[in-house]
Amino acid sequence: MGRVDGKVAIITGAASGIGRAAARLFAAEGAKVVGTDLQFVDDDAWRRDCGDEALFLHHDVTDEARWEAVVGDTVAQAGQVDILLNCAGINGVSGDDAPPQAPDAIGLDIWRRVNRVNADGTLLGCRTVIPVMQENGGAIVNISSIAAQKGWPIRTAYGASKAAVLQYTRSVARYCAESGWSIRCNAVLPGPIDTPMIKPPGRKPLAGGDGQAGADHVPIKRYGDPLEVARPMLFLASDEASYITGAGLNVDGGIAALTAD
Amino acid sequence: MEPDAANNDGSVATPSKRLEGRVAIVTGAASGIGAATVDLFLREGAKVIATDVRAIDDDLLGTSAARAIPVRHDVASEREWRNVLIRAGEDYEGLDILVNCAGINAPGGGVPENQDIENVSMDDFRAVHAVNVEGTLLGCKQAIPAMAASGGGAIVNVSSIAGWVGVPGAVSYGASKAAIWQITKSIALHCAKAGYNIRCNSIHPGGIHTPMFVPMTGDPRPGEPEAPHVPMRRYGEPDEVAAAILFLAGDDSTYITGSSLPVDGGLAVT
Repeated sequence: MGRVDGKVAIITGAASGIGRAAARLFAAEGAKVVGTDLQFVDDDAWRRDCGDEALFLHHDVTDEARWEAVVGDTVAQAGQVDILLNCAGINGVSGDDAPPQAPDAIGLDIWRRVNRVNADGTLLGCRTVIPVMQENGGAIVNISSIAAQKGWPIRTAYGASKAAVLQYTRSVARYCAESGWSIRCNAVLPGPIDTPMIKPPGRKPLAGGDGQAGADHVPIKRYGDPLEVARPMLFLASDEASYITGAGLNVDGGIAALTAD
Repeated sequence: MEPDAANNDGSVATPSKRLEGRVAIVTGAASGIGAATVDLFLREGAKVIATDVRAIDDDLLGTSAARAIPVRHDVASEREWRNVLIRAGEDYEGLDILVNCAGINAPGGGVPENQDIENVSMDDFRAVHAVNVEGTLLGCKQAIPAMAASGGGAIVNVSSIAGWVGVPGAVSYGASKAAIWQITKSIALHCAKAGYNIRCNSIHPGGIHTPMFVPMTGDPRPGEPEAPHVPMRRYGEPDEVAAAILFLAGDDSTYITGSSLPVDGGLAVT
């Protein structure tokens, strides 16, 4: 029996990276997975990873109406939503023509774009599923970042948006628990993970976090595998974490131990 | 350390026994979180050495099929730690997991009295630190060479929410739990730098229904929940903390070291 057997899980950002690994893992652990992404997936590969039962919906997480539709479709087809993983995110620095984010150069366009996807997208996800989860309870896991805990001079928008996710997670956790709903809300704070965001196909890897290339700045000297973030998300989403809410869990190869927060 | 990506057969599902064949030392095993951890680890296939300064009830040591080895053990004694490691080496091969659960909130246990800053004695302060801080430090110090020799391992130290927030009635306890949090980070970085493949993390319980905590709670006011100051409005159970210890001790957390995980019903974010 799987660790999230029979649960219905909406997973955003499910086309690639951590979201994709989570979709695969949660399906293997018995969940009915509803993956969403702005990018499309190859149907055969999706079914191979997540099984024939898994759904995939096209979804811009900054679109309020689309969130209503994704949650509405999920309830219509699966009856409920037990788990939400807000994995969709951008760092705004992946393209060759990425605008600068340094404090003396950043434009409001890139600030708003990064915050819209990362912060607004997470807010909308939580806001849309909470009413649906109230009756049977549920678990939300948001993806923050080690960028939320440190100065992040070349990715100011990214760092600020991920700090917003962490802080918002705490408020959602309190709000739900103090309202008497058994809805838990936690965040993971990944360090550098081997995903297309950090290692865009065909391009040299972006710095893993704070502007240093490669994994030399990671105490255990390697990037994480997406499954190594998906597994902590599974723990936090499962009933094994029944007394954990409002937590921000670093998944970062030891960078947390170098971090004051 | 290689990423624990997919299983050997390409699947990703969790194995049915998550600690199959692994050797684990669990201190403070006679009650509370330590006892719950021993129980869970045995069910997950671990070979457990259960230690406590008190005698451990026979029914806490598992079944005849999966039975923990009890060792009488004062964690504040380096000599006794050496004996525990020797004993583990006699009965089992290698060492994979250390869980430092042993802890006290006041000298001699019981409800802390006169443990605020105006009344605490240095004897009290040192007695709490001897068990909580020195016990944890000595355990890590003794276990690391054995773990490194067996290819790596995982250490989980039981700190507390009291290591983060002020604890006016138990100044020694709060300080000792903060020290555990801090040494956990130093140990994590040391092991990473040495290339030992040993992870070290801390867990931070809030109020848990243990023999240490329950006597301090008093009776709830009529019509009020037992823990009105906790967002979840209840205290936790030892097995809820044990589940989090299992997470940090096992293969779900291969990219987590130097981290701290609250298990507190949301108390830390109030």
